[in-house]
Amino acid sequence: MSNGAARSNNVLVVGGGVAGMQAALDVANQGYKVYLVEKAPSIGGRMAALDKTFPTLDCSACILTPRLSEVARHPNIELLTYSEVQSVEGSLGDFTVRVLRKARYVREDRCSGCGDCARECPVEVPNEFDEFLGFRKAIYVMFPQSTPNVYTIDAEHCIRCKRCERVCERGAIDFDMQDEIVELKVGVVVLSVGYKLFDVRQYPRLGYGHHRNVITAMEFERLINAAGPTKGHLIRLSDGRMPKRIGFIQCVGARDVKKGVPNCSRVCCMYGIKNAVMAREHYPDAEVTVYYADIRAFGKGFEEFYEMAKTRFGVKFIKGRVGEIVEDPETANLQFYVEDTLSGEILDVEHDMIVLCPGLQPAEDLDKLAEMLGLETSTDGYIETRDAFAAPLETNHPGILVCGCADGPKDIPDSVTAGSAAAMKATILLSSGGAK
Amino acid sequence: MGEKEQPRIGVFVCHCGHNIAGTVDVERVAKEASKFPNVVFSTDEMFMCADSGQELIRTKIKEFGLNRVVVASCSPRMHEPTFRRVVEEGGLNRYLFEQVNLREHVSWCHMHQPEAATEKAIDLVRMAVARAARLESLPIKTVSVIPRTLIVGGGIAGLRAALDIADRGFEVVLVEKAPRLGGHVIKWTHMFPGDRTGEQVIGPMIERVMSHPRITVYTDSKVVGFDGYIGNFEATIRSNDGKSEEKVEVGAVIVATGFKAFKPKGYYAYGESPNIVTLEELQEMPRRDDLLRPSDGKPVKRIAFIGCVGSREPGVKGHEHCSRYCCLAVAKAAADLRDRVEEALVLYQDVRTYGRGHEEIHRLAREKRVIFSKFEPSEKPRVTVEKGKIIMEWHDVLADDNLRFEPDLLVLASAMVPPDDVEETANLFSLTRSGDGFFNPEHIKLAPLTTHTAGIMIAGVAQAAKNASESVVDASGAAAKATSLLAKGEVEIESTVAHVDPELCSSCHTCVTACPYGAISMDNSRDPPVALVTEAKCHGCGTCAAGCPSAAITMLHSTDDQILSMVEALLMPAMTSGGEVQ
Amino acid sequence: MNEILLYRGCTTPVRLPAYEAATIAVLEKLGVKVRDMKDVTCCGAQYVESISQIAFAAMSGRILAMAEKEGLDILAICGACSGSLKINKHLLDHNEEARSQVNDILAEEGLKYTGKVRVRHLLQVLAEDIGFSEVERAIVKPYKGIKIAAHYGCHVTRPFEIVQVDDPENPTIIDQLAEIAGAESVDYAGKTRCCGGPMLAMDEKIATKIGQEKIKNVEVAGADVILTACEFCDLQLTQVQFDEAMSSTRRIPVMPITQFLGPALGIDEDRLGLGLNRIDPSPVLDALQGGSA
Repeated sequence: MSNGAARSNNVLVVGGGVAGMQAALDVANQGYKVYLVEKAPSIGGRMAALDKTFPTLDCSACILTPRLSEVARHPNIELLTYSEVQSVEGSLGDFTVRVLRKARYVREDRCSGCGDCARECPVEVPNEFDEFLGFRKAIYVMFPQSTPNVYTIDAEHCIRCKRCERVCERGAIDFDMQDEIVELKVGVVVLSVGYKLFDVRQYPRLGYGHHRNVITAMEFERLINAAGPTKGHLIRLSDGRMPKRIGFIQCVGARDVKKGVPNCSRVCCMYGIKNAVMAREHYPDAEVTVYYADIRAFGKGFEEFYEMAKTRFGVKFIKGRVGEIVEDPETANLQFYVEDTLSGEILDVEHDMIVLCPGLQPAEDLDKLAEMLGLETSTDGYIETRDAFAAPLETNHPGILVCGCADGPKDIPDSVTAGSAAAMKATILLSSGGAK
Repeated sequence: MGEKEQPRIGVFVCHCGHNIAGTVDVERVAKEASKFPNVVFSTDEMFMCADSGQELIRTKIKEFGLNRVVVASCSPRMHEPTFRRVVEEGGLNRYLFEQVNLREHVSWCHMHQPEAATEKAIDLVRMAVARAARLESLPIKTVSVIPRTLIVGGGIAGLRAALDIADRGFEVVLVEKAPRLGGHVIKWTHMFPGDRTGEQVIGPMIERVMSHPRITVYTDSKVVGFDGYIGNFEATIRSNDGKSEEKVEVGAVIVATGFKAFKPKGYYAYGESPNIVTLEELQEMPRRDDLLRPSDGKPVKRIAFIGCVGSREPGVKGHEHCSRYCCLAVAKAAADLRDRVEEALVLYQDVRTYGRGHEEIHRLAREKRVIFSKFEPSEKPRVTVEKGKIIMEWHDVLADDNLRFEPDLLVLASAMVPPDDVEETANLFSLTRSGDGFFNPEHIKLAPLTTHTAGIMIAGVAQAAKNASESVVDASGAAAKATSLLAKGEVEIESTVAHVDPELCSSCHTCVTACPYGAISMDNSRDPPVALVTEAKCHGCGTCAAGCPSAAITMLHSTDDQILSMVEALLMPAMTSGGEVQ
Repeated sequence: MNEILLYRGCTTPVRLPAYEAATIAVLEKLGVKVRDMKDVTCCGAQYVESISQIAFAAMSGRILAMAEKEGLDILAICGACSGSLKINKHLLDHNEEARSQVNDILAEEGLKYTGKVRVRHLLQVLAEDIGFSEVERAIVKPYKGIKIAAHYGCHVTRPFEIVQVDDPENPTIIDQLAEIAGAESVDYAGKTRCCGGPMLAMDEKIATKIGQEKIKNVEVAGADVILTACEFCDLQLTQVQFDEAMSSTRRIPVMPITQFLGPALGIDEDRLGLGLNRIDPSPVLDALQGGSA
């Protein structure tokens, strides 16, 4: 503990996904100031890219956008998007954080999000938000409800033609902007940095990357999303036709000791079932099959949703790991052998679209972040928490808390709950006993 | 903003991406709307809820001097609070805003009839515009919040929530119906992760709670009465022996009433042998180096577990859900006990070792040669007890073989179900329950800890089946929600409430009886007494107004005039142009 | 490395001597002296392996111990031998009881296993001990306009934790060597699958079907030749093409990798035994720039 003068009652939340936003809101609602740092140009995290969520089939953007608004307008929350934490020094109650605010070349205080600049921009870039299935301009917003609703120039692809600057009526474009480092004083740090999806190319024989109709679950989300690259039309990438026989393959990069991912990724069974249901919704005549090892529908409403997927939506489930996926060079259809272990039959199946469901892994560079902050990680790469019962959100570094997927895979409700719990811990630390 | 001045209505029709525009011709709706009486501005926009849509509202209010705003978009349940705030930021009272549901009520249910859907959308917007012209500003009221929280349930979730709120600096009243604190956890001998006893985990929490200056504990007691409204609740706590009763005033409540471990009578010969126990009962057996049979104290050589007992049964009310905690608990128990027995068998439907460290335990159990055998739910194992011997017969679906096993001890992983008095608790706190029997959260994804009753939170298994470490996180989360209320000190209440005109009230008491929320009482300070609405408790349902024979009750924001104008607009559309009323 | 002991196994000398000859010729060209192992016996793969773990360990252990006496690493050119020697080395290195049991047996011959020598499969020697750049430097007559399909088989690359040869799910050593020699390597369905050979003793029909499916997939991918690194695979992929079911299709030449590299390294065809190949390899040799020797 440092001397009273140096104490800060501010909270830094690193990561603006659902967990981070919830933590920020719950801290801010208690009257404390929160800095919410997010490395992407907008908060919203993974949820912003999803189409529907399980088990309610709520439209993800619909339930998320009120949160984005709430965070953006909260008087106690300061958003630092397109920013990354560079260093954290000090101790509980007295941290000094250096944050790199990357230059967007667009003034946040002037941009109204009208989009004239993007319409003018001549440079098209594969859109990472759409899993590179669509394009965006070099000046862009991630998604229609981006928060803050400010455009960003992707310096790597911008050709400096300055047409955007000429057409912007508010003079919001500023090519002289520089990256800047800001220093924040905070009392507690909450890490909610999310996760990374397993690179399915690590199973070369599943064909992703060269079989045209083998896609990942995230690509599927973007294809069925009305705001996605195909306006919500689920089509085959090889020929744009509607798929009639879709296969979902679970556990790609989970429960596999050989690939260094022995743990279960927790959410994939449910998102796989949800996507399978969505496939049937889009094409009621399509055959949809989920190939699984175990179905882990453990949360509130999950088992009921699984049951509904089988009975009401007619999704087929086959318990078996699939063999090598072979592409027919003419039709681009896909064939593989799989054992239906429940019937004992070896099946020779053909699909015209296959969706690989990757597992979750620790966020990119989580190990570097952990090292920077002196945090212990466990063998699975996630941040170690002090005690599952007494201190489930605390790390070995007093004053630094974790929530969301930073300490292990979680679905949205569990992440949101953890965000609130982290907020509670944070404010207890800050108030250290006295009522505010 | 004067209600008497000429209405200047702005109409904003949302595309909602593809969700509305995919069926409804939103541009046409906006165009038609511009002709409606009192409409001075009308447009369509891609996403009204996005920053750009919100900014549009703010700028147009200024630009056109709007004093009423109509947004035709998704359900008000999505974004009404958002738009109300936007309108407020634009300088208008939030109740001068009207939302039309073109998504759930039009495009999503008439997906294959775009022309008819568009006509319906136009009708709905015309009705909304008519109503908007008659909307009035309503005062924004706040009530203060009593800085004390009631926590119902002294299990691990209740204890954690109590400690968090008290450590944060607010008072807590903790009520537990059992004679001691600690719920189920205190009885268990092996916790995961780590391998401490439940006592080791929860003991320190109990000690801290008992000695905490801001926590008042009532054990062997229940909440028998509950009244009030957000920030101002009154709970009546009575000891189980009936000898003492106290009333406490609190600002927020956390319901952490946990679960009952299902006693699976009728499943797998439970009850026919002392050697057939539930997982909970196994967990409660005192720790010892050898595992002994309950019937005769002889060492157990063969142990078997059956999963999903009373869980995952489609069509069986209250038993359709997955109980979440059991697969890991079984794998761990099997792995631990494998060292003490000769054979260990686990019969399962699915192995749901989903959490951090869970799959590793599953793998460890298998490496230790615990046999996992899968059965199909349509063909459950048969268990019979013959002359004290337990005989298990089942069809292993992966080996396609009929197997038989005679364990010395059979452990049934039985379900987590709500406690027997859950209905009582639900009624007391006006909570609804979901299919699994546990309480309904406000929103299963983004608001899992709050409920539709403002100021009342749920945590732990009261919300849904889960394990102890997850309940702890729930508890801290719910504590954060409670603390937000307490820390703010005051909370806004809805102004869309019932209002009694004392001049017209005939003291008949009809409304008092009709009100489902007990929000109306008689104001005895007047003679004769007249009905008085406690606005903070009023949910604006309108039952009282409908019942009042003297038409003395007005539903603010849903006045007869406002509603009838909508009917008129639907049946007799006025065809004026340019926005000025005739 | 400049010297290595060749363990040729049981099958190569009898059924595919060209593989052995080509390997010796290529390695010597690349600067590795290949020494003979005398009085060696079977490694125990498959047949003894399925009956007794210790007998299997002793059979392979004997070879390993003999190599220890010479103080040189072992070069295994057969996939099964490579697998057996490596797996048993792993067992003997990590399991004291097994090691002491095997050493008791070996003691009768005055042999002892201490784990001093390594077992190297041909592909490891080429890729790691010699290195791709050395191979590249030695190419004098590259191929042009020819497509190869690499077949790795099962025992060469699996189980990875023990054998440590290439990436079992995406092996590339043969492909890289072929490309260095000027050919184009093609991917094909079932590239990492078994040739079917080991099934012959149990169910010839299925074994043949497996091999034929492999050939079909190679054909679909448009390859002109199949390159192997195990004589079992080589023989199997050759003989299934002579089965009735494939009598109408054009046969695809099958060659061990060293037979393929040989001409590109300027080695005389006679020294590579190319005349012994059951399926005529001349279409492949014609692709050599400067014509075949």
